[in-house]
Amino acid sequence: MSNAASFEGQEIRIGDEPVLESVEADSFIVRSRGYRFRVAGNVSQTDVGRFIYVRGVFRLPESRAAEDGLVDPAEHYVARGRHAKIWLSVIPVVWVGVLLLRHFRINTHQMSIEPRT
Amino acid sequence: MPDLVTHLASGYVAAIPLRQQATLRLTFLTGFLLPDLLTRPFYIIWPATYDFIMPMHTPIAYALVCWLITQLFADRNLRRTVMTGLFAGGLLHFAADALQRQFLTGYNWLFPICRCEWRWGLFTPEEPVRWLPLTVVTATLFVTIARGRQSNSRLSKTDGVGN
Repeated sequence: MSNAASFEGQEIRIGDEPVLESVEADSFIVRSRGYRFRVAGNVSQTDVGRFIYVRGVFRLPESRAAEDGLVDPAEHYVARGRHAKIWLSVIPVVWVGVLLLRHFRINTHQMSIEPRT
Repeated sequence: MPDLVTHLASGYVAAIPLRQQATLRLTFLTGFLLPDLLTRPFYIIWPATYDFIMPMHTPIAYALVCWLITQLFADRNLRRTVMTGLFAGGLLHFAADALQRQFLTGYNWLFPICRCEWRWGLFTPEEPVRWLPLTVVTATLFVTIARGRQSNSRLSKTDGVGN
């Protein structure tokens, strides 16, 4: 964000796993890659900690102490269910991992993988 | 991306014709998960890696990764089978992902040739989680019916030999 001024007035997209950090009446704070953005919009029905994607016009904040940028005007999308999706996805990974271990073995002499006979 | 349970369930249905080819079937199923396994854990834990990791979620870079994986197998025929399974499964994974609606950018399917995006926009990435029970039941039904049919056809062939 050292070159934040170069983004002034440009459309930006905050999509790298941004998390809702706090909610206020007419704006909310999103944290992404360690940076905090104040975004215009009402998400009062949304729990803190949810994934929330944002696109909008970047503005420099008056003070960098509170946040690294303002996004106004902005559109947002709350990824409801993304946490569940991530945790549910562990099940098939374990399932297929077990199937692979049952089907293949590592030949340590040849340093290769081969089907179990 | 739909969740990996949905991907795997669709993989099981798509793998029905491969039931007699255990290695191809298993690598095909693995291919349904692999594009996300190569990318999601890394950028969910370390979001700053997104730009470096995401090319592996495109067909050309994914094919290279599949080829690298096949080099772990000594037998040439086995390498070909593993490559076919992983790549075909991965392509169907990408096809399922292309059905989604994306709020920000979509996937650059032809990266690095072009950065063109292509998507159907039928559902949001989180919607398949809500349909999961239905998806799993439907996939299980498909696979069970297909197994029953395959067993019946084998039995009738055996009967034919006996007669």
